[in-house]
Amino acid sequence: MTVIYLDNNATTRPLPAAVDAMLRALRDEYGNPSSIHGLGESARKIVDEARARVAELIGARETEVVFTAGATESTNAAIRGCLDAAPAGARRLVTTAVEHEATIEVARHLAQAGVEVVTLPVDSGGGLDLARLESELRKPTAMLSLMLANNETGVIFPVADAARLARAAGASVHVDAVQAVGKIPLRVEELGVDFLSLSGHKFHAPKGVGVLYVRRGARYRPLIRGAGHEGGRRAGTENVPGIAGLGVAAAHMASGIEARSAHLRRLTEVLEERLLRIPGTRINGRRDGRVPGTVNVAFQGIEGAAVVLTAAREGVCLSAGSACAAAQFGGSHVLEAMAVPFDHLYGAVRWSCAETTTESEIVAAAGIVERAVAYLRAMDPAAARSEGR
Amino acid sequence: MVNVPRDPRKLCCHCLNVTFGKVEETVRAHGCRSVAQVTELCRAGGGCRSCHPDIEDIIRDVRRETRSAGLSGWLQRLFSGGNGT
Repeated sequence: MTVIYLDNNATTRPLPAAVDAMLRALRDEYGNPSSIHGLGESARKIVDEARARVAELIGARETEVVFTAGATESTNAAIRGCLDAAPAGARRLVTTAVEHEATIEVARHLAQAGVEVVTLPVDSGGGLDLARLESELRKPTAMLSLMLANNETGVIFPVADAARLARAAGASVHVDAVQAVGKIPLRVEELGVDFLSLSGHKFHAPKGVGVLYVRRGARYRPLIRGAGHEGGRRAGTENVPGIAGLGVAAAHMASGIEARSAHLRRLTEVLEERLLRIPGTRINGRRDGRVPGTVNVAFQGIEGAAVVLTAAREGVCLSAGSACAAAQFGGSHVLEAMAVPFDHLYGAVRWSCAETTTESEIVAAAGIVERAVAYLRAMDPAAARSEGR
Repeated sequence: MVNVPRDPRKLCCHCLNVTFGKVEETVRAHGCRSVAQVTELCRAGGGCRSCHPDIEDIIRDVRRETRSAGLSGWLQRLFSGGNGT
């Protein structure tokens, strides 16, 4: 059975060159980057080169790039590290209702510890109300933490404007840029952020390695303490093979962004056109201002998970909501925050393409899903009625 | 065209897929004075908004060019015997 992989917001296939770099690091360059002998120096060189490539990818200085175990750690470190360093009168966090669980759970934990947490709502298209943000920033606030592109819908937040408002109010800004990398340019100066999180495995690097950008002079205390690795901002011997792979993937993502996004945009258009032919279908999230390649579609009256499992029998890999929340019961908090109608809420299926996805794969997968939806609706008379048959 | 070398085929706003050429064309055609106007007319700048400085540059360059063209026309008319008004 041919596999059609359309779950790239969950994870991506590592680049062959990244795998080669990892294998070399794992097999041959096994020294500790902190050691001063030859093998240590070789490992240090790998880490330094990868750091330079990440710095170039996001427009940062090399000294502002910290390697972590992934974006969940980066997000934890940014939010907790900033709140830890905040003055007593400003222990306040502003975030949004559609963040990744990495942010939501840290916010919840901080709230239990006495930090005031403000969760901004979004509109039905998944957009952010900047006037509401500005009004919430009138009280002393330590940090604004928000996504650049939503993992479920691909909707892009006006991060540069939000960051300008936050900075004017004296708050630090963390952006979760996990789903934007390689699809839209990431320039920390233009975005105006103090912290930025990335996960390697979302952009064709391996799992278990990520990035936290910490602006020089940002208010921050390290989450993981120990020896002075990563400029004293993240203790622990570096994951050299993972970092080697991440460096290769970062260089790849930094180039060809226009061609990549044009290809993903074309796939999105084909996919949406095909899916909207199916009766009782809606695209969640506004049509404009989404990262290309992510489509969140809801089929009225049926369960998204049932569509995913039915399509999986024919080799199509999709996701109902985000992969990180797939094991949890209930509807998507992102779609709930967007007030998606109840009869569509549980029928959401996320399609996420990569630059290697082809148009013929999209067409084939859309056909398989169309048949899956018809099959599931035929099994459920109530769903058939809601579709108007 | 504006003096700053800018490839009109390249994307200015990646989030909304709008080229530098389209932004400049919009600014010229409508005499835009703000990024908000440009966004309303051609969508550029309506995503993450990190391209706003680029759009501001285009507005500034086009206005500067228009102003200097207007001034040189006025001077030409003045020295060719017109009253310059």
